[in-house]
Amino acid sequence: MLLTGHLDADAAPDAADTLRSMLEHGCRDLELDCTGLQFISSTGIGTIVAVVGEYRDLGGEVVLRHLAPGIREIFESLDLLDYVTVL
Amino acid sequence: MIVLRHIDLLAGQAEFIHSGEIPADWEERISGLVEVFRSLQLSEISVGVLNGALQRRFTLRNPELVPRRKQDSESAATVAVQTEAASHLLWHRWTLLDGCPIYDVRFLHAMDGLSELSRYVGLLLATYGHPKSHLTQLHIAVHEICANIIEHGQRIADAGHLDVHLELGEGEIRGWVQDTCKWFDPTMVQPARSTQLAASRLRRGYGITLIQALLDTLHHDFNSIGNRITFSKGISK
Repeated sequence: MLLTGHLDADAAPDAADTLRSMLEHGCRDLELDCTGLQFISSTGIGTIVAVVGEYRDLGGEVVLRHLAPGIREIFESLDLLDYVTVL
Repeated sequence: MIVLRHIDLLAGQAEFIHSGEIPADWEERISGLVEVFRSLQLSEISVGVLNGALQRRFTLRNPELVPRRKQDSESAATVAVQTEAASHLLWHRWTLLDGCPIYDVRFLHAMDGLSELSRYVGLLLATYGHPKSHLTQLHIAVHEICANIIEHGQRIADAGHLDVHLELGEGEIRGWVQDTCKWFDPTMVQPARSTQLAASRLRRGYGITLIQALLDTLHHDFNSIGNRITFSKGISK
């Protein structure tokens, strides 16, 4: 699944709804291609963290791929690379 | 020094003033501003030195772009731009100092304008042309500062606004965010550990940690207008 543009307080609720809907419909292992992700706010990070937890609760996993270096470093700054799988 | 004196959207004209001889590379020097014009969907039609002043003319391409004159105490020549896509932007001013654009923008103090403010700041930062990763991080940090002071700011007056100032210095980008609110110092907030937030499945609380992690300096002042958060981040090519 592609994650593009700005994941901020405006976009995060819709993104969370979509990812949860996929979980409810049986999706367990989810790969988020972040090639086009230009910006992520703290709300966006919180949403990713929450969704990762919900997938894990049901035995699934969420993987983030192709994060831009600047955004990957943000997950690193927050010590979240141990929690969120970033490839 | 070249300074953008004013931008008049009604006349489709921007006037630059300069001190001393007009430098041969003046077009290159104002290229950052031109990028901003382009992003605002202003289409240039002519460039030149007219009556001893640098002038850049342009036409309005976006029919939704409605110029709205709004005088402010600092610059009577400032023309505010209001568009459907930028309904919270009160005014902006660009100044060139030694070829480096200095940006000042004023937005309404409103949470529903945060996204617009943030995108505009991102646009301005992009004109500095430094490594995208640094600019992305600075963009996120400024966004979080604005989000914090909008969320926690208790406005002194109804007509509250938020000013953002950005400038490119020697090896760093400096700036400040000024509000018109009662005292609130986000730098005094003890950040929570992100790993604990994540383990607790908390969706909020990462903002202050991000601000402190991404910026090199961060300072709070409370002045006669309100709170001012001053920051800087080192950059390298």
